[in-house]
Amino acid sequence: MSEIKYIVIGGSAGSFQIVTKILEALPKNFPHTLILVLHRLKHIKEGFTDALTIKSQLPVQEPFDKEKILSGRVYIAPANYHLYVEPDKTFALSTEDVVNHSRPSIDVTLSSAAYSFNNNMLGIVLSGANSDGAVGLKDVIDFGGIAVAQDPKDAIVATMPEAAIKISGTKNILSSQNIIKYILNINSNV
Amino acid sequence: MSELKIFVPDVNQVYSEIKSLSDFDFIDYAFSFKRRRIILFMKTQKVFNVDDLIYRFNQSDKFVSDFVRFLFVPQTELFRDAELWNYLNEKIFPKLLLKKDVNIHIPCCTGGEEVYSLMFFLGLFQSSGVTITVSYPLSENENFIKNRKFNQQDLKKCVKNIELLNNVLNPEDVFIGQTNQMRINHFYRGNVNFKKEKIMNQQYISEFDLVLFRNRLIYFNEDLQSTVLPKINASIKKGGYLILGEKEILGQMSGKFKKITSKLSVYKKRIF
Repeated sequence: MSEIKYIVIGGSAGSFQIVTKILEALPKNFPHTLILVLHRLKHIKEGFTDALTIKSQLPVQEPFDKEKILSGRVYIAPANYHLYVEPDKTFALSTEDVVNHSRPSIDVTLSSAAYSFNNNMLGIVLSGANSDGAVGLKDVIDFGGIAVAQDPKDAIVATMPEAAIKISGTKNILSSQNIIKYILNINSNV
Repeated sequence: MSELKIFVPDVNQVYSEIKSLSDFDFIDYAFSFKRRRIILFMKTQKVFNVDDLIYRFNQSDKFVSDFVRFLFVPQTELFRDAELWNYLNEKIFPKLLLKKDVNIHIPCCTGGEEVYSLMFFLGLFQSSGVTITVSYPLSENENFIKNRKFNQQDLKKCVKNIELLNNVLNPEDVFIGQTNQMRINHFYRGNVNFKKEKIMNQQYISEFDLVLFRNRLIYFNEDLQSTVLPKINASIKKGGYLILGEKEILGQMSGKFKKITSKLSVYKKRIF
């Protein structure tokens, strides 16, 4: 298996707590890139990134259009934009229509990341109340990456990981605690 | 999305074909956007491989124009980024409207949300010395924008924006007309000119006091951004304003402008 360099996490209702725990657990010298696509209110622009920054030893930021993707950083999809990953390892944004009632949509980011990162990526779908991320997680598998879904029994809202498991067929179903361990040991897992 | 696997050569082939069959060149648009639009279009048209898609393009001009139309994503909602409109209303428009003649440009306009948001706010000043130039890529855009009516879904998209606008009390202040046939209740007294043009082919010379160019650069790759931004720069008078989307950057043109507020993408063109 190839080395995992990029981790893309999608979450909706009930995922914020897990995301903050993941960020708290990542060491300062974490060598990979973390991209977060979290469903959020489009008008809440201030405070969201700050709340995550407090929990993280890594720099956390919303990317600008065509910004280069760097390792050791945490990127958060900006409110009211879809976030694409380009094959040249830059971000691109879009105001296309909502997908699964969401902008940013987890499917949009996961699918483009799957295409651009191939087998260098880990995709994770966390708690949430719709099916966003399920198709994207299948793309992750189809393009050679690793797909993980939060165990629905462990999720505050099970709908999203259930849909991700059903559509992607991933067998990597982990509790939030085990997701953290999995990320921390990512290249010894593969 | 996953059943259709579209790769770089497929994307290049589709857009080369579109270039040869239409007036439009999307080669330098952002790759992931182009790829996703192909996949979505194929799904809606029930086309299952790229060869069939290209065959259909060659069989029908309408099929080509449907695809081209599908690539021009409209602005998402009226009054998107309410804090920007509040800033323009409170800080920029009062200054700008002290001038006798004010020229404003909205390039690459397809849906009209920016035009009507702008007319609503300029209408609050009841100034007649303003000309808004709306340039658009497709012939059909002009009539669509001129006759634009808004429905409940449009209202739902922008209702939160309206709540966040200063000095606007509720959606009834903004819309008039029957449900699903609503128009913007504006008191704009200036002119609106419509021009079909492609920004990348234009040569502008210091024509505009303000250019509202939000969330258009994001669809271009860096090469095309590098072509378009100097044209936008050339189109703005010294001391004039440029408004970009909140996550768009000026790149090589950054030295020509000063960002005048840290949180919003409002730029003032430098005099020297």
